[in-house]
Amino acid sequence: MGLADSWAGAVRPGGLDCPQPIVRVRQSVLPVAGNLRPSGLGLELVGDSHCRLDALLDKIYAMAPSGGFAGRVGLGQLDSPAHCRRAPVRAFSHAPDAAGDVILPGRHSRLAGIAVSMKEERAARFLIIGLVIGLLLAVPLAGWLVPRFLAPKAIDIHARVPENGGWMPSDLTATVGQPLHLRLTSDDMLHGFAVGQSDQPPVDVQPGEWSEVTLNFDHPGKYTYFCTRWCGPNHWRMRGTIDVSGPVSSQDAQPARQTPPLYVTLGLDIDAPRHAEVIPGRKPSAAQGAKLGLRLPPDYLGAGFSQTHSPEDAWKSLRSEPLTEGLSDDQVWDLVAFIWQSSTTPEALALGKKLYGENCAACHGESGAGDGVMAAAVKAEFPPMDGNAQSGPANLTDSSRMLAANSAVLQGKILRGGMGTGMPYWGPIFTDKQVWALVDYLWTFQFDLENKP
Amino acid sequence: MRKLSFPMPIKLLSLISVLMILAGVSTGCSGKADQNSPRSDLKMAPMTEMPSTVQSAPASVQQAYQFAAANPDVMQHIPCYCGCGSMGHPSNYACYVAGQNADGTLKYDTHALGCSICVDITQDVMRLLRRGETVQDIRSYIDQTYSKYGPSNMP
Repeated sequence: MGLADSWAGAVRPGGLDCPQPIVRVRQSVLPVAGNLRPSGLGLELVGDSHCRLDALLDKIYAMAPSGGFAGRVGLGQLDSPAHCRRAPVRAFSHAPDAAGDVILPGRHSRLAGIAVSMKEERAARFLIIGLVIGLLLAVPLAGWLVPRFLAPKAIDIHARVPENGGWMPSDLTATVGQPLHLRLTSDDMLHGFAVGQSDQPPVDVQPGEWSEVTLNFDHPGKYTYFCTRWCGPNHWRMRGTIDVSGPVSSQDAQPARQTPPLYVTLGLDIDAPRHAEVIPGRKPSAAQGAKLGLRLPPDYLGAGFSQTHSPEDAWKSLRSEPLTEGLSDDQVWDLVAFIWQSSTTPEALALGKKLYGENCAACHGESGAGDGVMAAAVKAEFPPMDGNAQSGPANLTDSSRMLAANSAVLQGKILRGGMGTGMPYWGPIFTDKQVWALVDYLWTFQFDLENKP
Repeated sequence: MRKLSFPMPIKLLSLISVLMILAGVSTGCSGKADQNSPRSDLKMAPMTEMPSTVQSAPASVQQAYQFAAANPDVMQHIPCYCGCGSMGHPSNYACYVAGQNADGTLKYDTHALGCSICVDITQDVMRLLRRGETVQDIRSYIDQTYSKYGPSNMP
């Protein structure tokens, strides 16, 4: 046991229920700057610092003859240890003269006993506090970090008009079942981002702003993203590809597109010039056709008929039927319109109208007359192809041209595009349902299909 | 004398842990890599040899012309599905190059300027070549992808 002389002014036994004493240590014995007071499990310096505490401990070690300093500090009365039993310093649960304790006698009858501590207890305290704080911080920190750690970093995509690069980058890869995060901005003007054959709603891409979109793919394959805003005459060139790899993750099998397309199966040359020999005197009306109340042979009704027969074919065929005797030529055209109406639905026409307005009207015009806002630029850029008298976007109101075609021809034009005429291929953009809805809508430029009788 | 120095290591450990977490966050978030590698890795014909209409075309079209002109050995084995077989095009190469002039320079075809399928096929070829695919595999990919839209111009 080592003893050190100190002066303990106003020292009282420490306890949880009484003021804690302050012990001023005689500097000649313990070269400690400042005072000591009990704190928690041990003794701390008033105005504590580690270097000072180290100095104190070094001194105490030096005083301990056994060299086995136990590392505890306490205050109390040597003559009445029980009085300090409740002291926060556990040194006094036993007599302070135990081996390894260091006693600093006070001036009063009470002694300030310092036997102990320090660094182990202090270290343990640091450890416990650190662990508690760490645990408290871990939960919110993990909640913030884990998603960011696991989630793939977003890919930044810049949009420019095609003359200046289009989408950059224009080639992406993705994996089935793993989200693809994109951040999009425009370097010049308003663009729109959408993925073909996807339910993902279009996202506007504004200059100076970032739009975020997350894509999820259920099926592997090649997907096309495209601009949905009419950004210029080469707007249709603004496309990029996403190669998606991996197994099919959805239980719903993706409907396979017919390969080859119907027009190829039928052996149709969709680029051949077409001119109908018979033209109606007015716009045929499906409602008027229905009002005639004729019972048409089943072969005329259904989607399959309009896919493989032109309206002109249908008119000629009907005209030769005994049931149309007594009808005017225009009334027979009304029957043709009625047949074309029977091959579609109001929902399909509404979908086709929407798609046409968003994607086709820029060139073909709202009225279908081939006079959209981009028509002049397209006409100037792409000269007429061999066999086509007219250059520029097709005039869908041209009865001579349209009534000689069938729905398979129109579907093929949409799927494949115009073969060098500037008309893009929409096969990777539209689903089959959308393509056929568009075809149905295109017939409304020839027939009044929307008014039921 | 025992060396007791727990607090500082604990603090250092905590600091190191935080730094490691931050480092993991910053380096672990690799995400989907951008696959748009530089175009210069493929053989490309100089733009100065191209017709003015090509030189003013969108970037993707210019690249397709440059690549096609410089890689007939590849492009003559790639079909086109735009319907140009009816025009006598035997391959996707013919959508860009009509033949040779008397001086040996290439005679360009403006067909691909207005053909999105032609250019998309060529862009696919470029992308797949960069990935190391063989011409045979690329042709299979082109056939599978574009036969949904039209007829091939190659047997």
